[in-house]
Parts: sequence; C-alpha cells; structure tokens
Amino acid sequence: MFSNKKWMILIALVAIAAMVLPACAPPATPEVVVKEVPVEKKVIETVIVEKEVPVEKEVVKEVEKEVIRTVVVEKEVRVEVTAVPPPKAVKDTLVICMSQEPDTLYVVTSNMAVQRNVYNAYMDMGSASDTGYWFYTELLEKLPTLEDGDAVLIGEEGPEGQLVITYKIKPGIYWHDGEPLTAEDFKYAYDVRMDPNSGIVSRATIEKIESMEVVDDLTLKVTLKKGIMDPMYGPYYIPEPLPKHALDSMTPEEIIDSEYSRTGYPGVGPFVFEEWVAGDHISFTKNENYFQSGPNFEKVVFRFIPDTNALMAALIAGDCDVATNDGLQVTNLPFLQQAKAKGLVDYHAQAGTVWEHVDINQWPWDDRLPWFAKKEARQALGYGTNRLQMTEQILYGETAPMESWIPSDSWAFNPDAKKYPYDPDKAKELLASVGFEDKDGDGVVEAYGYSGTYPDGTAWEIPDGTPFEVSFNTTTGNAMREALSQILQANMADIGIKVNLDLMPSSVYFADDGPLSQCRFDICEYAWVSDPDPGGDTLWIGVDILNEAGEVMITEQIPREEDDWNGQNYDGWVNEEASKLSFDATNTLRQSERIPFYFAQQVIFMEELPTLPLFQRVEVTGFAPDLKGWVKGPSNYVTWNIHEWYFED
Amino acid sequence: MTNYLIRRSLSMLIVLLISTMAIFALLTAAPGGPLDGLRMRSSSARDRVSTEDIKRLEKMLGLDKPAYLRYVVWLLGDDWLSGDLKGERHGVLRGDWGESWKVAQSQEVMMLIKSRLPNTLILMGTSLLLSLAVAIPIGIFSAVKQYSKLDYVVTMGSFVGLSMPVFWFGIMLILVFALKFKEWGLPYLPTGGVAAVRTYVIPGLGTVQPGTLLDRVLHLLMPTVVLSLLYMASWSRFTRASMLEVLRQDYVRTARAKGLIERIVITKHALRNALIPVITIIALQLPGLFTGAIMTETVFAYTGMGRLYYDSMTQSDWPIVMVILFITAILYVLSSLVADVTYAVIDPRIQYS
Repeated sequence: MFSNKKWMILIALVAIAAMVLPACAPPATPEVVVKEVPVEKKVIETVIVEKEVPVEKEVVKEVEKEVIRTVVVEKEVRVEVTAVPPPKAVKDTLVICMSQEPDTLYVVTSNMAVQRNVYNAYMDMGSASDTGYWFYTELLEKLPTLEDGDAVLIGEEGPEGQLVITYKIKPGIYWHDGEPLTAEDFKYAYDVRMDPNSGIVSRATIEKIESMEVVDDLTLKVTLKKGIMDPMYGPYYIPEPLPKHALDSMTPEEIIDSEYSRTGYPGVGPFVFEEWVAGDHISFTKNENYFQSGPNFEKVVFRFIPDTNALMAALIAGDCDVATNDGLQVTNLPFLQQAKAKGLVDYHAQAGTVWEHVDINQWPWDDRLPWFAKKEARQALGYGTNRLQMTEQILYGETAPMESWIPSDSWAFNPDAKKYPYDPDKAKELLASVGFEDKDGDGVVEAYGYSGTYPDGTAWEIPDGTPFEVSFNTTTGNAMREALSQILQANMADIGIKVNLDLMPSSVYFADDGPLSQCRFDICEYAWVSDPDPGGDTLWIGVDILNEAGEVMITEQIPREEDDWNGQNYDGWVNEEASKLSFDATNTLRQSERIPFYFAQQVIFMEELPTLPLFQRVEVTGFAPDLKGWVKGPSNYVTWNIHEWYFED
Repeated sequence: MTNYLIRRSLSMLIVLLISTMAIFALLTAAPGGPLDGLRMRSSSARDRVSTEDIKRLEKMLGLDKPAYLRYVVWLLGDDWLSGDLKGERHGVLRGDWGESWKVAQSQEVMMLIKSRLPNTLILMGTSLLLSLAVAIPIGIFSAVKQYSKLDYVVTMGSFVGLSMPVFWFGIMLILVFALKFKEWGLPYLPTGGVAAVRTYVIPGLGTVQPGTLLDRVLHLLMPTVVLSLLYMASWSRFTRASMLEVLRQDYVRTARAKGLIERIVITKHALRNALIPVITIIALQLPGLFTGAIMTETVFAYTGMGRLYYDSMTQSDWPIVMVILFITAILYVLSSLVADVTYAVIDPRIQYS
C-alpha cells in the first residue's frame, strides 16, 4: 500500500505532532467586559483619599477626569490580565469516593465501616465517636451522666447495683417523610435488634439491657441488668433509631429484604436518599428541613472505586472531593504530599484507634515449644524490635511507636509504665539471663535450662541445645505488614532468634479454624480496631473473675476448643492481678476512678509484655483543596459533620 | 448433524452438572467465608461478636447445614423439603438464583447480575468489535507482507500487548489522559466509572452532562482501549499464523498462476480458509461478553460483571460466585458447540455424524 519511505514520513509526522500539540494547547480566550464596577469604585476611592477635603469641588472634577482615564486604563489592564478561565461546572454536588460499596443501608445488619460513612449522610447519631476519645450526640439533648443525674445507680456499685439511664431526645427532629422522631423510634429499634431473626451482627450491648421504656415522646428510660457496671452507660445503650411508622408493619426479617435496606428512607440526616446504582454510586439530595444548619450542597454522591491508584487519580483529577481512609493507604502519602504541594489535593494523616501489634504465644496448647513462656524472652522481643524504624520507614514518620496498648493521647494512657526503646544489646542480655546461648556459633541462640510451669501447673521444658526458631504469621497482600515482617525478621536475627515468615491470605489467617483463632502460632501480627474507650477486658483477662459470693463475673478469655474458641486473649496471658485490674477498669462507672486501674494494669502489662504494641495505624483521607469544614480525629468517621462541609469559593 | 447435536446436548448437561458440583466443592473447601474474621473485627465491648452470634448468623445464611444439603438446596430449592429443612428457596433449576450474602445483602443475585450485565455487554462488545476490526486486517497484512518492517512492528506490538499487565497499562492511561491532559489544559478523559455523577467541563467539548451519550462514550474509551489491545495482540497473531499457512497452499499458488489479482487471491481464496481457526477462537471468547474483564473493570471502577465477580470472591459471597461460574460454564459449553458447528458449516470437509 504505502512505500517504506512514506510510512517513515507518516510516523515521523505523527511523532512530531505528538510533541508539538501539547505545547500548542490554546490558551483560554479572554473575555472582554466593558463595565467593571468594582474596578471603577476602587479608582474613585483612591482618588478621594489622596485629595484634601476643602478642595472638594476640585476633587470632583479631578475625580471625573480620573474616572475617564481610569476607564481607558481598565481596558488596557483587561487586555493584559490573564485570560478569564472557561466557565467551571457549578460545584453543588459533593462526591465522596470509597473503596468498597456498602452491603446495605440497614444499620442493624451492616458490618462494614464504609456503611457508616454513608450512614452519616442520611441519618444522625444518638451517639458516635467524636474527634477525640469520647462520644458526641446529635439526636439527644446530651449524653447522660451520673454527675448530671440523668443516669442513676440504684444500690451500690458492684454486682448488686443497677443503672437506670434517661435519654432526652431533642425536639423538632423529623424523619424525611415529615413524621417526628420520638422515643418510640428508639424503643422500636431496640425491639427489632432483640429479635433472633433481626440479622444483627453483635448483641453484646443490647443483651445487657433489662428493659427500655418510653416515658414520653422525647424521653427514653433504659434499665441495665443488675451488675452491669459499664462505664460506657451513656453512649452505648441508646440504639440508633428506626422509623417505626414506616417499618413496623414488617417483621425484622422482612425489613432485611425490604426497600428500606436499599434506601435508608426515611432517615433524619442532612440528606435524603435519591438513588443507588449498584456497583457505581449512591446519591442523596439535600434535606431542606434538616434540623441543624446546612447542608451546604444540593447533592452528595458516594462512589465506589476499589483500586487505590484509581482512587487517588480520581481525587487528584477532581472526580472525587473526598477519598476515604478505607481506600487510601499510608504508602500513598509521598504521592499525596507531592500533589498537595502542587495545590491539587489536601489530605489528612491521623494515627487512629486501629493498632498493630505482635501477639506472643506464651501458653501454646498444641505441640509448639513455649519459647516466650518467660517474660525475659518477651522483653527481649520488645527491646530487639526496632519499632522506630518501622514507623519511620513504613509510616513515613506519621506516627510514633506505641508505648502501651493504649494510645499515648488517650486519657487512660500511663506514661510511666516500662518502655522498650530499641536496644539489641539489652535484648541479648535478657536472653542470656534465662539460659539462651549460641554455643555452636551459627548466629542462632539455643536454649539451655529453659523450663518452667504453665499457669495450670503443667511443667514445660525446651530440650537443651534446641535453636530458638519461631514462625511469624501475618497477612499477605498488605504492603505495610509485609514490610514490617522483614524488619522484625532482621531485628530478631541480630539478637539470635531465627524467625521464619509464614504469611497467609487474610481469609486463611482470620478463619475460625485459622492459626489466630485457635492460637496455633508462635508470634503473629495483626491489628485491633478499638473504640474511643480503651476497654480491654476480653483481651487481657486470663483468669475467671469472681465476685464476693464466688460467682463468675467474667470467665477467662483465652480461646480454647472446649469453650468454642471464645475470647480474645490469644496470647494465653495469665496474670491474676492484671486480669482483676482489667475487669475493674471496665466495670467502674466514673472515668476518674478507672484511671488508677488502667494505670496499674499498664505497669504490669508493659513489664510482662504479653503483646508487643507496634504502632497505631495511620489513616489517610484525601480531600479536594477547596473542600472545608471537615475534621478528622483518631476514631470518628470522616463524614460525621458532613452538614458543615462547604466548598470554599 | 442432528444426532451429533443431540449427543452433544446430553453431554453438555452432564458436564454442567459436574461443573456445578466441582465449583461448589471448591468454594466449600476454600478457606474463609462470609463470617470469618468477625470475632476479630473489634476489641470493643460494644461490637464484640460471640460464638452464639456467629451460630445465629450461620443459621440465617444456611451455613449450619451440611455441604451436600446446601448444594441440593442451591440446585433444587428447599420448599419441597419437610420439617426443619423446609424453606422458601426454589433452586437454580426453577429460576431462583439465590440471594447475596455480603456484596448486596439479601438482594436477589439475578437482579445484581442484570444491573451489571448491560455495562459489561457494552464494554466487551465494543472491545471485541474494535479488536476484530483492527486485528484481522493487521494480521492479514502482516502475513502478506511477511518480514516487512510493518510485520516486525506488528509482531513487536503483539508481544507488547500480550505482555502488558492490564492493571499497569490502565493506570498509565489514567495518568496520561485523565490527569496530565487535564493539567495541560487539553481535552481529557474521566478517570473511571460508567458515567459521571456531576457535570464537568472538557476543553474543546464544553460542559458534559452526566449520563448523556457523550459522557458514556468518554468513560468507555480508556477501558475499551485497554481490553482491545489485549485481544488485538492475540488475534492478530492468530490471523497472521493462519494466513501464512494458507498462503503456502497449492490452491493459492494455482489462483495466482491463473492470473488473478493479488487482492482477489487474498480475499476470496486465502482469507476464507484462514479465518476458520480464527472464528473458532473468537467463538470461544464469546463467554467473555458475560464475564467481563476483572482487572480492567477494577482499575477503571467500571460497574460490570468482572467487578461483581471480584467483589463477591473477595467478600466470600458464594451465591453470586456460584451463579456467575455456573452461567459462565453454560456459555463456554454453548460457545464450544457453536464453534464446532460453525467449523463444520464453513469447512465442508468437516462432517459430524
């Protein structure tokens, strides 16, 4: 068809065009505006200021003249000024991009964090995490407290005491269909959750309620079961309301299959459901009758972009105004920093309440060797792990190593508990103190005279000469965990412990018959998602806690086959004093009285080191540079105050 | 041929039944499930999930039943069973494809598929047509002008296309045509999705309203290019190889010896025979019209069947996975039948008895 020469010419022309065209991108055509009132006014004001008042007439004349001259100048200036950019699309729609699509808008059955981001658009909260380590309310007048008298303790604080909590609902709140929000809606929500076919995931909270009573349209009284001394009595026991008038014709099971689960309508929030295009987006329109100020957009759209790179691209290109932290990773920070420097995005990196840690199995029930049964070995792990290197290299210095299992900015954190700065020499000393020695010179220490008894009295012993070799488990496909695994492996090699990495998919790792649930690990790494309140009873209680009458208040929380693997004390840590302190800290009503328990527990915890806290996971949220009003703390969902957001003009 | 079709149909049914059993067995044996990790999702007292909670949820999802019974219920339903086993499902054979567990809680699987299928058909259909329109002529030209510079360019291009990782290429296209072009003030393409959710302005094109034809086309461009490259690369190679083989045949030499012009020799004598294996290969690609392209749809956030499959696999939503794989198996079985029959129709030397 074409000769070779003509093909070469054509290819060359295309290449040249590709290089030239970007440079020849036409600038935007300037608009010529004949009248520009603000400019004229400025000129006039300037003239008046410069002239003295007594010569007013002359000033006027001069002003007139000036005006004429100014008009001429304006035209000149307008020509020189950079061209007015082409008209922008009106930004009355907020687009929030997430990496996952919610499974449902029915809050009772949803198990997904992304659902909560959407929930804040169409509903408001009875109680939710605020930007600190506490809770806030939108639907109630306030969260009840014993101090204010809207929570009452009947009897003594303890197994015989009973809490009665009164919630006052704000007046003037309406569902999107115009019906008022009343206490009946909260009671109805509780009744639905109590139904065995409601599909609720966790009944941990509602099962502690003895009764819920509607006192009047705006007053709800909740009575907890006797002995439930939950310091979270205020925020935990107000269920998220459901519109009784819209749903009570259906059974709880029918609600799951109903349109309500796909629309969340009616809600009480700043936005009203518009449409859900499966797999693509959910959109809401402005609630014109919202009881608080705002919202400042006509519409909000939640888009789903599963790929992190595509999500970032959409944020930078302006297709998204928010990229939520479920989609962005800390590894995206360098790119976001560059984009922010160019004015393309804004972002917020925050150490959250999700904390990464290494669980240390000190009471293996299978045929594993109890390498970490003695605290010296665990302390050696602590001193020998360079957590600062992890935070600097993997998290770009956005957070610091944790000095306890409680974040350092929490009210419950004890700054005086033992710390573990990176000190491999100290680690080696600790290993040597319990008999570890590298007699064969291969770089791996062996056990000599390493024996003891388990908490149940069973003796254990590691045969002399056995090299200290353990497996380390965590999840694959997580760049942060893969990186820290390698750092830990190298650190352990430096102190004579051989660590074999055994990473597995999360579906295997977290399976009910997986290594974590059934405590079949030596050391393993994962994260806990914590509440603003530190909690900790199921993590650290290793003995049955009895009351004065000898009744069990809470069983030990070490998962075992005979109790269906219940509990979260995967380390198998048994310390009676720490267990009692953990129980007391989570069963004392007043925060001021809880602090000593938490402080004392942390002293024991950091001395015994059943778990090595690594760092709080950094949550990265991206924003359009002109989006203002957002506030993100360690534990709240970013859309918590979506009604206050606005685009800066 | 009739006997052949009857025999093939019967064997197809057996293949499909065995396929469903194998798929179900694999999914059951695979680690993980929709409720895994619930116990570890939170250390908070408020969200703690107990063993009793898990058992309750398993009962709701039917996971408390033994695997063989779950398969029977999936296939035949449980409305005909008695006692505690009786339920409301009719089974796949009676058109009840089940409900989603996690991707879209309690939504009918078929509704989910119907919501995504049109997007997939558009994307895959466009890619297939574009690929055919480019790959076959290029393959023919490459074969006719074997060892020419264009042949080398096409060959190298095919290797690049076959080797190019889709997830990387897609991101590069987004970087260049969505980000950089916008930064340079050039007409740019959207970063992803099926359609926009708000108006946007493209230099040279003006304001684009979401959901319009222009908007849909702009969103379709990049994923179509990515997919087409993959198909073009492989089909052009097939066409070239097939064409080369045919061009060496005696009857082609005879056609030239008869004095026919080269164009007639290629199009009338060589091409038709060369396309026979190509048609077979293309016929086997037809199930892809349904299954979509997982990587491409994920990178471009394109709401299609590929992404639905990916989401359901990652969230262990087995009802959706079962239906998608079942329908895919049906399509593959049918497409292989279509390919065999087409082969017999095109090539009179092939006869099925």
